[in-house]
Amino acid sequence: MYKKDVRGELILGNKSYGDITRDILKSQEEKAPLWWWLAFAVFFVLMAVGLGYFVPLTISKGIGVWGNNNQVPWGWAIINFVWWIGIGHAGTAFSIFLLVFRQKWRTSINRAAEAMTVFAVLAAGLFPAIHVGRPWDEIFIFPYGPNSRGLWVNFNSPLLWDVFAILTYLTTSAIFWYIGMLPDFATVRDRSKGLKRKIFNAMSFGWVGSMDKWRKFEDALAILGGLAMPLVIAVHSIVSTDFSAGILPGWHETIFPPFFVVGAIFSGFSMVVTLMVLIRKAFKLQEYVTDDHFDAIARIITFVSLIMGSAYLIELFIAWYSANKFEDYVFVQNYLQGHYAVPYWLMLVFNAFLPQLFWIKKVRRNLTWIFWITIGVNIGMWLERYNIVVPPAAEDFLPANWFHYSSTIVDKWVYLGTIGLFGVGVLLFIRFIPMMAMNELKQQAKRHTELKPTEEQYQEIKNLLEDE
Amino acid sequence: MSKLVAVYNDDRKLMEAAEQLKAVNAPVEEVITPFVIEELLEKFHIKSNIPLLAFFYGLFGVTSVFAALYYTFVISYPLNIGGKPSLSLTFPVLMFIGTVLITVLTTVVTFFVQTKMFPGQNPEFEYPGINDDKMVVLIDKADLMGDMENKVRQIFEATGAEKIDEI
Repeated sequence: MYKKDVRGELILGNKSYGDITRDILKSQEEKAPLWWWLAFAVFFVLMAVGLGYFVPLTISKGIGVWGNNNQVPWGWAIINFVWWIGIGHAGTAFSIFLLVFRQKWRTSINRAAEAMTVFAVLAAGLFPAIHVGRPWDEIFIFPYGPNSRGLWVNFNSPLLWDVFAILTYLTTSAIFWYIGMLPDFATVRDRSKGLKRKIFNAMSFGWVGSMDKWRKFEDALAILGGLAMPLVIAVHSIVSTDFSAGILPGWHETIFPPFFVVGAIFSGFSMVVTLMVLIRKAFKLQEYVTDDHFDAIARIITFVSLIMGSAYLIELFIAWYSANKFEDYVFVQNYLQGHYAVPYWLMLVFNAFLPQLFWIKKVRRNLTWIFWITIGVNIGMWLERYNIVVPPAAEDFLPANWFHYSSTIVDKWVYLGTIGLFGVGVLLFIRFIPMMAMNELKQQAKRHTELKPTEEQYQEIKNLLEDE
Repeated sequence: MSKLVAVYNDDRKLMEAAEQLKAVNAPVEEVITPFVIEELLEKFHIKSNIPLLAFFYGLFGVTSVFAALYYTFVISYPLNIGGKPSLSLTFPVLMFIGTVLITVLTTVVTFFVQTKMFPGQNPEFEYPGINDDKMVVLIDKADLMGDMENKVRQIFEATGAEKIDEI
């Protein structure tokens, strides 16, 4: 039970149910503003060039057009893959963890977070798909039966688990997102005419808010949420075993699964905040996404940032404590003072130090600060993956083998292409889909209505019962 | 077929009406709301078997994935990977993922089958504002025996229904 005396109002401005519908649907019922078209054009160009030219180029020429080399076999592609998957955990971390923990303030933000998840996981899935080099052979990853050599796929390999985990995660989060939207699609259906009505009629599956449907809707969502919550932990743990099953110092660490999961939640929350700041400003939704919302998320980010900071310290400590020369080289010589000191220290600043500013109340409640700190976290998390993927491989056991890594223009454009894909997806989402869960917002607004029947009405009802 | 429709714009009034209708044993056919009102569902004892079914789907999922892994890796083609046993300790990873996938898909199918919803279906009941801010109590007039109709109408009026309509 949400006690508003203790925890404050979730929706400001004393909104009626009708107000909520109108406010949320304004973004799709009014004409698209100029900034929307400009942003759409920019992201669309990025997507078209990145995915329309440089991805086919990678496939036709081969992975040689990337910066990967024999010593550093995984470059930007895997960095970006892990980065996007991390961001993709926002929807689950945000929406479902808070659903399961009954945190009612999630309602204004969960829809956008789930949308982000779907687009981010799509962007992430692209990288392993093209990094394979021959995407047409990907059918061999699936256990469709003994293949041409009479073999089954290796079910013991983390790389294979990745395929299943990520496809399951994409399926689950897309279904969770869609089912949650059915009542809101019905709202849009009722308010529109012509072609739009036909489309939303098809999308709403004939939703009517009868008691039986609400019961089943709530139960189905709770089941999906409950299943997706451990899934998010499994998915990123599996991503981390891609590394920790290797023998390279810097990868061969038991801390990786929890470290990766926390990092994913960290970057996911930050990306949600970055987007919500923009959406709130653009659509003037400060009554729905209040300063209290940002305050609550900022507290979580501070806490997670502390976990990240201690994980970095533990890595350094274990490297020193193990007295293993190779571990010591990677962490103490290379990260702290060597070739890769700049990205390492930037990562520490962005991930461990800057979010500590959220201890100050004024920073937690100032949108500009929140925006830039979370942008910093997103950069910091990208650098963290860079630090994991590149330095340990570039300078491993034999100095004679050392070879450094630099990305090529193709690497950069494929990355920009996925940013374009994500941006186009999010922009289409805020334009064509109710971007906040209206039915859940109304449920929150309900908790604030304090209306009792008048004395007269009470009397009338009482009389009626006495007649009975 | 004619139905009595009481339109409310406030869930407190609706709950009050639900209380009274229950007290006089009125044959309420359906209550349609734009958002879930848990108290209402409790009042009318609306239950679903989706959680129970999901549990069995999960059991089915975990056994079938284990069976598939066991068949491929132990029976059909036991690979010797560094001398480790074929019945590998890593099976739970895929068993978990596979169970989640199977349970999610079957639960969703169950949800759509039970609620009889499919893409492109037209809503079975439409009334202005029921997905926006209006809550509607539906009573089939054929079920109203004796002076029940009067009682029901009185309750609707007493609890402050915005409108009492017939369709």
